[in-house]
Amino acid sequence: MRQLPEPEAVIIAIVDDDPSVRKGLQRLIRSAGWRAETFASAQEFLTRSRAESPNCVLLDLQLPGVSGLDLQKRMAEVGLETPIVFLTGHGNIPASVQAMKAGAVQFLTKPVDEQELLQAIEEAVERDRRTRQQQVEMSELRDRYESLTVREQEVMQQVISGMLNKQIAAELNITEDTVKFHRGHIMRKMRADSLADLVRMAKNLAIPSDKRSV
Amino acid sequence: MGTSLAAEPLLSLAVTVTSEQRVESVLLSIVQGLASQPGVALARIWLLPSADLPSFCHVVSDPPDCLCLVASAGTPINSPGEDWSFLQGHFARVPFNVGKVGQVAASRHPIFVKDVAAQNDWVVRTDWAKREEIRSFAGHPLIFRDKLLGVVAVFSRQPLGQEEFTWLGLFANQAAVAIANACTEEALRSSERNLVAFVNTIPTAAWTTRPDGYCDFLNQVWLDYAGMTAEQAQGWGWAEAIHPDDRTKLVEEWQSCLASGTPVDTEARIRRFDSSYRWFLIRGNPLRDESGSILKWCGTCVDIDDRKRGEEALHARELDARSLLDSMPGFLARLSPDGTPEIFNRPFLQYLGKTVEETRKWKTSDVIHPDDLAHAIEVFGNGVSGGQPWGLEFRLRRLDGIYRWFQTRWVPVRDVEGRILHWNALTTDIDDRKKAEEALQSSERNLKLMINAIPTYIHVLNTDGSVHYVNRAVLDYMGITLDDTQKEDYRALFFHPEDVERLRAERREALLRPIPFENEQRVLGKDGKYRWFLIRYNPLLDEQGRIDRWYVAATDIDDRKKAEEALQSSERNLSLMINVIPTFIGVLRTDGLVVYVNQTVLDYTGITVEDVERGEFRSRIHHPEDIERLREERRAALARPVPFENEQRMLGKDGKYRWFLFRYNPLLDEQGRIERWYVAAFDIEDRKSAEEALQSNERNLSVMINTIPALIHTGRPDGYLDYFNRRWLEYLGTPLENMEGWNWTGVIHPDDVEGIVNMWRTCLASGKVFEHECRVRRADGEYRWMFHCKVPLRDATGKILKWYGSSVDIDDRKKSESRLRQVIDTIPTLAWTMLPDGSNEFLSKRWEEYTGLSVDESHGWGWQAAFHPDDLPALLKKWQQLLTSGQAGEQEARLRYHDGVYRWFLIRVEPFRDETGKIRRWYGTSTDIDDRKRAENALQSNERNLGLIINTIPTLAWSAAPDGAVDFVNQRWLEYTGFSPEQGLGWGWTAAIHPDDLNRIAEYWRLIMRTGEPGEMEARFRRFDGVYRWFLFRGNTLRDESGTIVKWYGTNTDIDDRKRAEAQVEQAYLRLTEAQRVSKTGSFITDLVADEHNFSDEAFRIFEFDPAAKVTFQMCRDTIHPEDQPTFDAVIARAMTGTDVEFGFRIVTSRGAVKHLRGMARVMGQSAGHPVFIGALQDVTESKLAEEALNRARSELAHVTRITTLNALTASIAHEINQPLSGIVSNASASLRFLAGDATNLEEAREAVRDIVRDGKRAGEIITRIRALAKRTATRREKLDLNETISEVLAIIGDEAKRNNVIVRTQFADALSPVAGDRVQLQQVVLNLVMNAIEAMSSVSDRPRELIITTQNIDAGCVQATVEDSGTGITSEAVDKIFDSFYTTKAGGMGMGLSISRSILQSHGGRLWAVGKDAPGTMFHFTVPKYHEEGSHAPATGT
Repeated sequence: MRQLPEPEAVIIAIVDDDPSVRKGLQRLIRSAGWRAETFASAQEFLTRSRAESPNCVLLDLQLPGVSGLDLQKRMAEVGLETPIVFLTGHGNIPASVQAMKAGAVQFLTKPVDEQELLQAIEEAVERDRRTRQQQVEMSELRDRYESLTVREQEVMQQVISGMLNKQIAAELNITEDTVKFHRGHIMRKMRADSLADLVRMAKNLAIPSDKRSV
Repeated sequence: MGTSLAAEPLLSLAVTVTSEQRVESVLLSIVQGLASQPGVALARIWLLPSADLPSFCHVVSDPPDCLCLVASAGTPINSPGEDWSFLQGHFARVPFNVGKVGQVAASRHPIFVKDVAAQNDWVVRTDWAKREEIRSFAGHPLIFRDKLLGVVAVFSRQPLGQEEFTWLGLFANQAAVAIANACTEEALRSSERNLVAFVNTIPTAAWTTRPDGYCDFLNQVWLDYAGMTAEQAQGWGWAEAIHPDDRTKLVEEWQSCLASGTPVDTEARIRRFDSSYRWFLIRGNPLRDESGSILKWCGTCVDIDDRKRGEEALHARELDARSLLDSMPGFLARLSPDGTPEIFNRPFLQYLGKTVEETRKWKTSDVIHPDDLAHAIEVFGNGVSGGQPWGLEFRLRRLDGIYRWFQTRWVPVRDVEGRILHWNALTTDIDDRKKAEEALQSSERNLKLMINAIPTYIHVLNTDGSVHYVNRAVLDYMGITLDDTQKEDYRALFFHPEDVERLRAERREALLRPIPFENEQRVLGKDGKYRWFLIRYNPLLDEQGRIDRWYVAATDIDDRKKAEEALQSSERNLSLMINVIPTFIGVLRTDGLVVYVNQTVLDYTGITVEDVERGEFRSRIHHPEDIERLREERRAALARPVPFENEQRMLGKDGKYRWFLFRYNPLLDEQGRIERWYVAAFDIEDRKSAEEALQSNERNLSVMINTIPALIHTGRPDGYLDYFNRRWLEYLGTPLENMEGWNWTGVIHPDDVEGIVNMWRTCLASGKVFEHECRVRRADGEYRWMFHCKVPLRDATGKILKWYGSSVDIDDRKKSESRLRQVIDTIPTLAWTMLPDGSNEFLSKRWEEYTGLSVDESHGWGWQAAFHPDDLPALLKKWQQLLTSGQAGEQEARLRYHDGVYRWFLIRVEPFRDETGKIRRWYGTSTDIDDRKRAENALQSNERNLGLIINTIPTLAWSAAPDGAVDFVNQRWLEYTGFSPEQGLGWGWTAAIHPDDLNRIAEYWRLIMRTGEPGEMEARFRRFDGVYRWFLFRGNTLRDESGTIVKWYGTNTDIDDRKRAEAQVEQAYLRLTEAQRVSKTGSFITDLVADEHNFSDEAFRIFEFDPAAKVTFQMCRDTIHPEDQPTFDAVIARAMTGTDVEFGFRIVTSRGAVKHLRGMARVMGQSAGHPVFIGALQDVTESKLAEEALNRARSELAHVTRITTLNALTASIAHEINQPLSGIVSNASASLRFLAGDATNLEEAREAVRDIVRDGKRAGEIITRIRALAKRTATRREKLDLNETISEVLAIIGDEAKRNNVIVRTQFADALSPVAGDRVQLQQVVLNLVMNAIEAMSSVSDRPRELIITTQNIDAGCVQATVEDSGTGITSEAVDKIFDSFYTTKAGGMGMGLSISRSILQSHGGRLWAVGKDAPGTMFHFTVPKYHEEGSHAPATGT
C-alpha cells in the first residue's frame, strides 16, 4: 500500500483567466504548503505537460472560449479523474447543479473564504488520494489474480459462487483433494483472509460468479 | 335877388362834388349844394336800384322799377318840426311813370315847371307847395354812359327860368358822373376790404408772390400757424419755417416753377408756432395778364399732415405687414370668400415648393396628407359656409415629400356691411409638438408597462412620501401585495431597524426639494434576509416645477456593498490612493525620497520607474529656478505632520515647463508619526498665466490713464468721486484730496456749482449718462469752460459699479461763439466817407463784409458796382445834385449783398466843411431798409391783386351771407363742381353734396350758423364728372367791430386721398392685428436710444402690459426672467450697434405667468442718427413646454433604459468586481498565513499586500464607472477621449461577453481627436450597441462570435466609431425601423435602446446609423463632433 503523498508533493492546478485571481490563489495555496500550477485557459490546461497530474483543479466557471463546465466534461471524457473545485464570480444555480452532478467537489463563489477554500482543497486532495489508493489496490489485486493458474482461476470462480468443494470437484471432474489443494493456493496467492475476503476481491475484479450449476 | 341857380356856383359845386369819393358824400354834397343856392327850397335825388349801388344805400329792389329817395336837403319855412335834410330816404319810393319824378325817370327827359301854381297837376300835395311857397320845379334825369341812374330835382321858391333849368341840366350830368364814379370807387373799396377779410378769414393758408418769387403776401392763417410776423415771412423769410430737410428741395422746385411758369404742386413740412412740423400741400398758380406775362403767383398751403401720416403709416404698415408676413414663423394665406386661395406668404410657398397657381386646386393637389384630406375638406366646407373663425390640424407635404403636422386658423375679414371680403389663415407648424405629444403619450403608456416589465425595483411615491405604486419586482422580492404597502408599519417592517431612523430624517428633507437624490438601505426579502439597495429618488415635476410624484428605483447593491466593506477593511492607504488617483500622484518617504509615482507622472514627464528608484529625476523635471526654493520649503514642511502645498514647474516630455500645484498629505500611523507622504499635483498653468496677464493688464491700464492726454476721473455709485488722473490734477494744480468725494465743487465756478451738482445727482438717481458744461478753475486761477461726461459701468444685473468720466476744455469754442454773436448784432449800418469830388475815400469793414467788395475794389468810383443797375442812374444824378449844391441829402437804392441778393438801403450823406466853409469831405451811412421797402411795395401790390387771388388759389373757396346763403364761390369751386355761378349760389351748392351726407352737413351748417362759431366737417362732394370725393368743409366768420357777423368765409379741401389712406390703414391694421392675435405674434417699432417703443395690441397682450401705459425699456427688462436677463442685455447691446437681431427668452408677467418668447428685430431706418427697429415677437410657450416635457420624458426614459441595461448586466458587473476582490481576499489570507507561520515569509507577505493594493484600486475603478453610469446627471459637454470612454464600457461588459463566448477586439485609432460629449450618455450608446451585438450573436454556433470596435478620425469635424458583430444581421427593411421607438426584434426587448441612442447622438450633433455586412452580421456607425477649444460647444440641439 502506497502512502498519501506529502503536502509538498500535492499539486493544485488553478485555471482562471484573471491574472490577479491566479496570483492570489497561487499565493494562498503556497501559504498552505501546497504547490500550485496556474493556467489562463482551459486549452492551456489540457495541453499541459503530463509529467505529474495535479491532485486538485481550481476551475473558474467563466472562462473565455472553453468554459469551466466544458473543461469538466472533456476531463471526464479523457478519464482524468482529478477532483474539481469550481470558483465563480457570480454563481447561478443551474451551473452549480450541473457541476456538482458531474462530480465537482465544491462550488464556491468569489471572493472565496480562505477556510472554505482550503477545506474544499483538502477534501479534493483526500478524494484524489483515495482514488489513487484504490487504483493502486486494484492493480495489485489484478496482479495477484493474474498470478493464478488457469485452473486456479476456474476453481476460484466456482468458490466465489459459493459452491462446495465436492460440487466443484464434480464440476471440474477432479478430486475433492485437488480442489482443496487449489483452494489453498488461491487463498495464499490472493492474500485473502477468508472466503468473504475473496468474494469481495472477486467483486472488485468484476469476476463473474459461475451460476450455471445452480 | 338874382337868379337862384347861377352858372358859376353850380360849376363850382360840380367840381366839389366830383372830388368826393364816397357815394354818400357825393349825394349829400349835391343836395346840400343845390339847397344852399338862393331861392332853392328843397333838392332831392332818387336813384334806381342797381348792383352798382353800394349796399349801404339799403335800396330795396322790389318792385323792380321803382325809384328810391336817397338824399334830400332843404329848409322848410312854414312846416315846423320837419327836417328835409337826410340821406337814405328808404321810406319813399317812386314807381316809374308816377308823378313828375317817375316821368323823368321813365322818359329820361327833364321836366321844368315854371309856375307850380299854374301847373299843379304834378303836385301830389298842393297844400304843401302852397304853404312852402314853392314856385318852380326842375327835375333832371341822372344819366351816365347812357344808363339811367336816377333823378335829381329842385324845388325853388323863386321862379326858375329856362337858363337856370339848362344850368341845372349841365350840373345833373356832372352829378351823374360823380355818383357813378363814387359808386365804382365804393364798390372797389368794399370788394377790396372783403377780399382782404376773405383771404384772412378763410381757414386756409394763402400767399402771393411777385413774378420773381419774392413773397409779398401771406395771410393771417399762415402767419398765425407759423408764428411769424408778415415782415419776418416776407420775401424769402418764410423759408425759415420750412423743415430743413425739405427746404432745399422746395426752394429748388419753386425756382424751377418760377422759371418755367408751371404751377407749383409740392409737399413740405412747415414749422408751427410751437416748433412742431406738419406736412402741407403747397400749390401755387401764376396769374397772367392779357399778354400772358406773369403778374403774380397765388397759392395756398393745405395741411395734409393727417393724410401724410396716414400714408406713412400705411406705407410702414404695408412694409411691416409684408415683412412680418414673410418673416412670421407661421404660414399665412388669404382666400377669397368662396375658399379659393389668393395669397400665400413666401415661407408657405417655399415650404410647399409650389406657386400660388399650383395651390389653387388644393383639394386635389398633393399638399394635404391623403389621410387628412377628407376631414380637411369637410371642415373647410363647413368653415367657409359657416362664416365663423375655425381651425384644423392636418399634415402638409413639404417640398421634399415629407409630411409635417400643421395647425391652421381661418378668420373671416368683413367689410362694414359684414360681408366676408376674404379669409385670413395662419398655419403653424406643430409637427414637433404633435410628435412630442405622441411620443409623450406613448412614452407614458410604455413607461408604466416598462416599470412592471423591468427587473428593477420601482416605487412611485406621493409627494408626502407615501407609496403610490410599486412594481411587480418589488412585490415579488418582499413577498407582499400592493395593499401591504399602504400599511403604516410597512417601512418599519421591511427596513432594517438600524436604517429606519436615518432614512426618515434623510427623506423628510430631500422630498421637499425637487431634485433627485439617493440613499442606500437594507430591505427585507421574503427569504428573511436583508439585502442592501441603492434607492434613487427622481421627482416628476409638473409645469410649474412643483413635485408631482417621486419615481424611485432600487438597485440591489448587496454585492457591491459587501465589496465595499471588504474594500474598506482591506487597507487604509488603499482608500487614500483611490482618492487621489485622477491626478499626478507620488509617494514620498519621510525623508522626502520618492518611492512611487503613478503612471500619469511617468507619462507626463517621460521618466521611468527606474529613474524614480534611483532618485535621479528631480533635476531633470523641475525648473532650475525652483529647485533651491523647493528644497528649502520641503525640508521644513516634511518635518511637520501637517499637509502643505507648493507651486512649481515641471518639465513635460514635450520639453515644456508647466506650473503645478503640489499637495502633500502625510499618512500617519496610530501614534501620529509620519509614515508616508502622499503627493498630488495639479496642472495650474492656465491659472498661472491668467494671473500674470491680469496683473500686467492692470498695470498697463493705470499707466495708460495717467498718460493719455485726457482728463479722466472716476466716481463711486453713490457719487463720491474717488479718482482724478494725473493730467487732471496738473491742470487744476491741486492734490487729489482737494478733489475727492464732493470737494471738487471747490474748483467749479460759483455760478455753475448748483447746476452741475443737481445734474450729477439726477444722473446718479437715474443712471443716465452725465453730460454738462461748466467753468472750472485752472491752476492759474482762470475759469475755463469744460464739457464733462460721465458714463456708468454696470455689472451683468445692470447695477452700477462705477462711473467713468472725462472732461474736455471747450473754453475757446465758447468764446468764439460769443464773438460771432457780436458781429451778427452789429451788421445793419455801413459807414463811409467821400472826397469832395464824389469819389470814395474810406469804407467800413462792414461794407466790405456786406458787399463782398474789398476796400481796393470799392475805392474811388468802384463802389458803384455794388448798386443795382436800375437804381444807379438816379443815385448818381442825386449825388451830382448834392455835390453841386453842397447840401445834405438822402436817397434809396438797392445794394448788392455779397451773395448777389439786392437789398434796399437808405443812403444819407452830409458834407463836412472846414473853417472856410469849404467842403472837405462827405460822411455817409447806408441803412438797410429793405424790409420796410418791401412792406411798402407789398402794400401797394397786395391791394391791387388780392381780388384775383381768390380765383387763383388752388382751393375751393366760398363766402356766404350771415343767413347762410352762399353769395360767392371761386373759380376753382365752379371748375370742380362744373356748376355755373348761379347754380352755386344761395343753397344751390347742396346739390353737389352726397345724398348720404346732405342731412348731416345741412344740419351742421345750420348749427354753426346759429352759434356763429367756426366749424368744420367732412362730407363727400361731387365732381363735375359725377365722382364723389371726400372734402373737409370749413367755415369761419368775419365780424365787424361790434362783433356782428358780417360774412362767412369757407374753403373745401380735398381729403379724399387721406380718407382712402385712413380706410386702408384701418383695414391693414385690422388684418395685422387679427394675424397677430391668431399667431400670438406681437410687433413693435422701437427706438432704443430715445427709449420709444410702439407696441402692437398683441405685444401688449403678450407682455400683459396695461394698453394705456407708455412702454419703456426698463418696463420690458423688468419682465425678463432673471436667468435670461444676461441674454436679453446681450441682444440689446447688439441691437444698439445697429444690427438685426433674433432673440428668445422668457418673461415673467405681472401675474406671474412665465412665457417663452421668440422673435426678431430689423433695422427699419435711422432716426437722428440711431437705428429704429421693427420687430415681431411670438409667444411660443406652448411648444416650448411640450418640447420640455418631451425632453424630460426622453431623459427619464433614457435613464430608465440605462438602469435596465445595467440591471441586465448585474451578473457581469458582480463578476468584474469579484475578480479583483477574489485576488484581494486570497492575497490577504495568504499574507496572514505567511506572517503567522513559524518561519514568517516577509517577502511573500509584502508582495501579497502589494497585489492587494493593485486589485483594490481596480475594484474601486470599476465601481466608480458603474456608479457614473447609474447616476442620473445633467447633460454636460466635456472633452473626452472616445477610446477611453469605450474601454470603460468594455471593462464592465467583459464578463457578459465571455459568458456568451464572444471575443471582443478593438481597433482604436492612435491619434484619435478628443470629442465633445457627455461621458455617461455616450457610454450608454456604446453599452447599448455592444449588448445588442452580443445578443445578436447568441444563436451563432457555426462561426466565431466576434465583436469588433473601431474608432477613426473621419474628417475635420467628426470622430467615427463602429461596432461590428458577426451575428444574425438585420434585414434591409428593418434597417429603417430599428431606430423607431418600441421597434424590437428581441423577445424581451423594449425597443427603446436604439431610439434613445440615436436621440443622444443627435443632441450631440452626431449621427447613428446601421449598415448590413456582406458577411453575416451588422455594423453600427456613430459619429461625434470633435472638441473645439474656443467655442467649446459643438453644435448641439438638445439642452
